[in-house]
Amino acid sequence: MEPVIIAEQISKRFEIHHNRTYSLKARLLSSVVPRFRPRVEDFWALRDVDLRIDRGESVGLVGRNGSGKSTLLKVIAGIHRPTSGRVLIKRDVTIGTMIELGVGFHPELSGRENVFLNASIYGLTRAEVERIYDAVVDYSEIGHFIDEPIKNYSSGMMMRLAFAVAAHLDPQVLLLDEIFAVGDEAFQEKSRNTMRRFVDEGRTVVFVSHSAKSVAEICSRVCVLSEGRKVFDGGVAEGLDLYHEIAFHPAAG
Amino acid sequence: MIDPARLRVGLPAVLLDGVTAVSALFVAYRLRFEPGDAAHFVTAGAAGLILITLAQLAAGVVTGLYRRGGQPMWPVRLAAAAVGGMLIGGLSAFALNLGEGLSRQALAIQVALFGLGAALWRSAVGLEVRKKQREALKSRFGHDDMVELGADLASMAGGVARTWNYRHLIFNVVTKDLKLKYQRSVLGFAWSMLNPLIMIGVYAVAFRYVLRIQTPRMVLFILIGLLAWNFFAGAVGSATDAISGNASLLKSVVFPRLTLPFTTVLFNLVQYLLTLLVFLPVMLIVYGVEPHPRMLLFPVFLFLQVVFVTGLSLLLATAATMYRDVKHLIEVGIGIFFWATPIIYEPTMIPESFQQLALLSPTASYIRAYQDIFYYNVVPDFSIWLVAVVYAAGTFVCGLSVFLAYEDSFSEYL
Repeated sequence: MEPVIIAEQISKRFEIHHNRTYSLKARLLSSVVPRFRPRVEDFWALRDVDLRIDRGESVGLVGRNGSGKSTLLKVIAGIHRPTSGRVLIKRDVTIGTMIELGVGFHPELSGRENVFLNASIYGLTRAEVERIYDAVVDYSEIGHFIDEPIKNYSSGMMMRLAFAVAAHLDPQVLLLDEIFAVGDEAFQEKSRNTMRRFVDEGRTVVFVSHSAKSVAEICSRVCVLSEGRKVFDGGVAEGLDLYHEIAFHPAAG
Repeated sequence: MIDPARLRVGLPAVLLDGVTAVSALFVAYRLRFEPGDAAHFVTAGAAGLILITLAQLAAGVVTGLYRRGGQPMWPVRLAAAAVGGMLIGGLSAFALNLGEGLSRQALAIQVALFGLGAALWRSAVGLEVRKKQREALKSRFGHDDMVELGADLASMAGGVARTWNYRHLIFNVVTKDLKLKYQRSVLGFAWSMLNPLIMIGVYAVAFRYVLRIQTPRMVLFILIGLLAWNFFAGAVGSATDAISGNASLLKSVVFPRLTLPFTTVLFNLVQYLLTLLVFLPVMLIVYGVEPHPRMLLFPVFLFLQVVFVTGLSLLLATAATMYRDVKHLIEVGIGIFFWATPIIYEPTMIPESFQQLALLSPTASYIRAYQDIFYYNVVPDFSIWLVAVVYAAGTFVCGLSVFLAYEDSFSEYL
């Protein structure tokens, strides 16, 4: 199969500053006054992770909190720069990154204006948004409220609108963090169906999740991360078993 | 063949920069003087000129321009080396009594030319290095379909091109901001007019009736400077929030971060142009200023000012993301530079010996150009052009390269 994403020997170090703020004053005084010397602790969120994702695969990244799965997704997306290693991406592949829903939504603007604003953050032109606009409104089931300022929306309506935009972006590769852990049962079901449709259409999906159920439904392959290292890469059933083992019996992991 | 990656650092780079610096000097003297004079000045100032070139190279070593790993922000290091070296070399030449043949104007031109030349050859080498990386990937996969994520991130052309693809985002955010600013206020857009009007009134009263300064056509004079200043101060002031005020966006969406500071500059520019469009024609008619072809220079200087403000915004947006106290520093700085810039007093009121120095205040060159064009009815002189162009090009290149060097780590600072 043809690879679309190759992550090679990815390591990511975060500096944790124990001083309250990181200011110019502290920086300038640090060489003279010991009190201002930054107390920095290194935290390695990822260690030498290799990951190859082929076209049409749907890969679930699972692991406990702090295992590095979200960081890995952000490195692949290009939100974080890896401390070492590199990410190769297939040229001209459109990548959609969904880590949070409704970013950039402004409460004073109408639903319609927010759709246009939010979609342009994901790189859509005005003409492209106009083409999907009706479908987005239909999907969101917001109806005539679409011209109201969204500060009058319920949080469920806001989430539906945000997910509707995300569902119509049409990327070839989708990088997903757990965005549909929100909303009611029906909404979760609807969003899972949309994800399954994405996979069935032959798109590539990388999916970070805590939910074994979602992963089992959507993914064809599972990678388990533990303390920044990849400890398993293979079948869904086997991977989820290992994930449960690590999650409930940390010592065994 | 020389390996391009090695050309950018170490001894080869020092030699290439040396050649560039010396050639820039000769061209600068040729531009400043007649051919015969130039030769005379160069021989008279030979010792001083050598000192300056050496100082520039030494400053390059100090700023880490030739150090391995010193690549990401090389334009800034280069600018610091060119300007700092010239100042140190020039001052020590005068101190050692070698300053006889040195022309300050020629040295200023040299700094610009040297910076440009050294930047050009580095960019050419950078292209060559990236080409090699692509070839390495191609030979590994058998096709050139795989590209390294972020490989062209620090490239300025790449940065601007990526941002161009997101022009719709810039447009949408600017419209949103304008709309949000004026909706729910009774006077709406009139507020943007009222504010400068009131300030001009206050300054005019204070100066005319309290300090008894008799600048003729005072309202026109203050208006020209104040509107241009408000654009600068507004854009620079909001640039410090351009990145740090959008934390959730930066942490969860991939888009060219350049769109954020571009948006704040554009937002302030639109407001500036709208107020100018209302005020300037009225003032010119009231004070009977005849239209003149000279006024076509206005868009030229406006463009230079926008480039300068954009460059500075990029620098400050980056700095304010890393260090929280930059924001307060800028607020204080804006207050100081307002009085250090001839906005409400005429440039001729500055003591003779400080007039050239006062031109170096951040927006002074642009504001003085506008005053020359619309108030004094003259074409801005050479020193105004020089400062305006060098400031615009210098801050833009430095701002862009600093911003792009840190672009992909902003998410970690928020």
